[in-house]
Amino acid sequence: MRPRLLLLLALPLAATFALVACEETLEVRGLLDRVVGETVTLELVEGKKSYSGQVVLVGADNTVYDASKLKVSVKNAKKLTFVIPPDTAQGEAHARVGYADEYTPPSDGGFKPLGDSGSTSSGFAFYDVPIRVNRLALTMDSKGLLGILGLPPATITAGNMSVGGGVAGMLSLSPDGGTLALLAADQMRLLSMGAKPKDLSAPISQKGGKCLTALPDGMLVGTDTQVIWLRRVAGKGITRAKDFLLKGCQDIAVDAAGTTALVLSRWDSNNDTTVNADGLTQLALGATPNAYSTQKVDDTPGALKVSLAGDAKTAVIADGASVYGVTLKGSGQFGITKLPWSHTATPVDLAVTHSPVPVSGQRVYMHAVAETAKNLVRFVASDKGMLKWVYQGDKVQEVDLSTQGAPTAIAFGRRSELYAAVGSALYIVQDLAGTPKTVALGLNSANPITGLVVQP
Amino acid sequence: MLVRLHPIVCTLVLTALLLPGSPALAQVAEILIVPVGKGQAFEPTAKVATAMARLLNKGAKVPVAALYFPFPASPPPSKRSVRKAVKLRKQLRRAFDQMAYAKAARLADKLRDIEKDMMKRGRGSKGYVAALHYLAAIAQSNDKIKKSFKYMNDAVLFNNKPPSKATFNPEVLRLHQRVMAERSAAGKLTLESSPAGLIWFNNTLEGLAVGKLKKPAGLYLVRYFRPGHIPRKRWVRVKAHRERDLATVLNKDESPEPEIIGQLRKDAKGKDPGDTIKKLALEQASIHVVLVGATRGCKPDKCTISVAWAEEDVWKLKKKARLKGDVKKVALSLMPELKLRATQPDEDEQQEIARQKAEKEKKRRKLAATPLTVSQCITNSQCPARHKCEAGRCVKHVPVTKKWWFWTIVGAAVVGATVGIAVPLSMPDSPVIEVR
Repeated sequence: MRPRLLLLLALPLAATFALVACEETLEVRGLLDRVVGETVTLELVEGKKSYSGQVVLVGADNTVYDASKLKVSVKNAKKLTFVIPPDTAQGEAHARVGYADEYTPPSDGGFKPLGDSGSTSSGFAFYDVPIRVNRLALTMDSKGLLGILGLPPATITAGNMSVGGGVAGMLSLSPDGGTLALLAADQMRLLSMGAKPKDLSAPISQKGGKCLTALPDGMLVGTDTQVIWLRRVAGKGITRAKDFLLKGCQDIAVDAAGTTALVLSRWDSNNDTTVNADGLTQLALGATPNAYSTQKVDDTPGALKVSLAGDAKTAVIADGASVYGVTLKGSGQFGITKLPWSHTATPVDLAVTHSPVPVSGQRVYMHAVAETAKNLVRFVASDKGMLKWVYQGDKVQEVDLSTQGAPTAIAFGRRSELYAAVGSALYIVQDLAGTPKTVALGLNSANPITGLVVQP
Repeated sequence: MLVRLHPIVCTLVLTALLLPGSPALAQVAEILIVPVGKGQAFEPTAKVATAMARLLNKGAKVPVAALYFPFPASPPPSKRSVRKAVKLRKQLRRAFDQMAYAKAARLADKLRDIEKDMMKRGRGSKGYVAALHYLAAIAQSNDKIKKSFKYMNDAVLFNNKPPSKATFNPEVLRLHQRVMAERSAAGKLTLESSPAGLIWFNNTLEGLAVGKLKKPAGLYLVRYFRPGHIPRKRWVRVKAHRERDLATVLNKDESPEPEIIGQLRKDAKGKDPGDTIKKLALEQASIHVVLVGATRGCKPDKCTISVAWAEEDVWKLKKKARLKGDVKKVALSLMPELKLRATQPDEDEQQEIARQKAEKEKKRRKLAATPLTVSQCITNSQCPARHKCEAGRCVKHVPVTKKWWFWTIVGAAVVGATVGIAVPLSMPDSPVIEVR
């Protein structure tokens, strides 16, 4: 063969080899162990194909969360942030970020993920960023120690933080699971959730705190004389948005949007300076904050807890010896019904699911009531506009914790996962709709647990 | 200094310039036709020139003939407008890079409007085309396919260069390719101006603004002018499969006839084509310049048209024809030689080409017949071609380029260099994402 011909053949072969042999691979580095509700920043530090703005998160259970649920914020063509949404399953999730080089505008506003990164034959090409999603349970014990436990399968190690200075404090998690509020040692603290929660500002002094609830962008703290609304404002830190003049706060609950709150209080209904009733007050936390007039729950001051459904339609009150079902009728008006309660024992804690769950063929928010006479947890849900005990056949559905002991705190996690603190141990209740089974989690507090929250 | 090029070379150069994608498409043509009639003679000479250009271009893949008449210069756009456009373009680029498409669309709209206004004052179309590229890209990203096609088509009418690869993603480039391949359907225009004047679409002189004309759909900057009248400019959208009347009234003023037209008219009467013709041919990269004038006593309805065709330094043709009504007939009577000229070389050139071929063949045969003898010698000159005198004998000298190992080394070196350059260049930057 003539050398020049050989040369002509060799050149395209060499070029083809060079092009075929070089395949780009994505390198992902940084903090990959994240928690629900945490803000994740993805920055393209090397590479030419900038982001197209399309992002989806594919959970470990293959549920796809689109941009509307991820609160995507595009900083520039190479940097964006998103929030791991509530309901994301623990385990390895994949953030799929479309890149501009092969960007095709979506026809249905959504994102069509492909099998491989870089494929362009149909749909969109994307960077595939694996993220290990964790869900945390946080406990407060009688000595003011905050326990942090990653629920299985967790990739972050359990830890604890001393926040109460030797005295039990209060804790509350915002409905989106991204903000933690603490009231301990006469200090109010707001923390952003992460593998290790971080303070969003310096602690604020507040003596006489009686009740607390976290909001997506702040918190409500109640004292004997008022309820304080603290808001986090970008660039200004935490500001005191409004003081509601409501006395005798016992408990506060807030809806999923963080715009409606219920304050349960010991109430002087006839203004004779003596507390003579339990009162329930609705707060509107919108652009024009407002406290509606207080409604009477009963004439015996002794109510302890209130839980409010995410859609702000139903609430449950645990009184000294009774359980009340509350339906919200708007403009601060309630329908309050006493639910049949056969036990004389005091209900100790309430919880409500973070999202609607299937109950008797419909999807509703489900409230749970824990009591200590028989160490049971029972469930209340709305049926045709009425709050009723949830039945399995003709028997009230319940979780029996008598083997474990008296529950001190309960909380719902993802969907209908129920968690219960008994003494210094933490349990998960599995198969709630069938035959409930209680399994101990690897958290053994040195002291009795007084408060419990679990990420949605 | 005028550079004289052989017509065949010129034709090749022009063909290359006229290839699709060349920005010179509207300006460069082999034959330049200039109506040089003045006063009453303006209209008939412009009519004949227009008819000649259309007949010559009929069926041609690339236009071989173009009309020429300078449009009066306008006062330049204000510095404020220019500064504003520059600022807007920067903001637009930033917004587009940050994928703030709603903001980018607003900025691109503003930029396009400013550029359109400035183009009426004689500014180039670069900024306007850039704004349209952005608008097309944004519309495409919003899934507004028709709109994106429309914007890109409007851009292509001014400049058919593809959008910048550095700014736009391949989808936008593909859109450009699609627009170039499909080109929108044509719309019909009925042209009218009172009095009759010349009409330009974008930068192309179409001829006298009378009769009907088909143009590809899109937005055009239409300009009218007749010496002694105020020039007019307006933006006109031609819609596919629609008819539209384009009528205008040209108001009189004292503006003189363009100086070059007067000089060309004067040159047409000369013994040889004057410097003005040569300069014009060079400027417009044309080979032939055809001056369409009129004899004395010309009136719009009755006129004797005189054609002077210049090629380089000589008049190739001077011809007259009586115009009584049928413009096409007159144009055809003046055209045959021009058409022939535009399509094939003349007899002398054919003979020259044949002579050169014969000479080459003769040389080749002579070389083939040279014996590869080995004989005694003292110097190289005593040896036949490709032989060297070595040790008193003529030895056939094999140059290094004929050695097998030379090409092997060259081949290996080229392959090595190619791979060495191509691999790092083609190696994509492996992307790195940092999670914080």
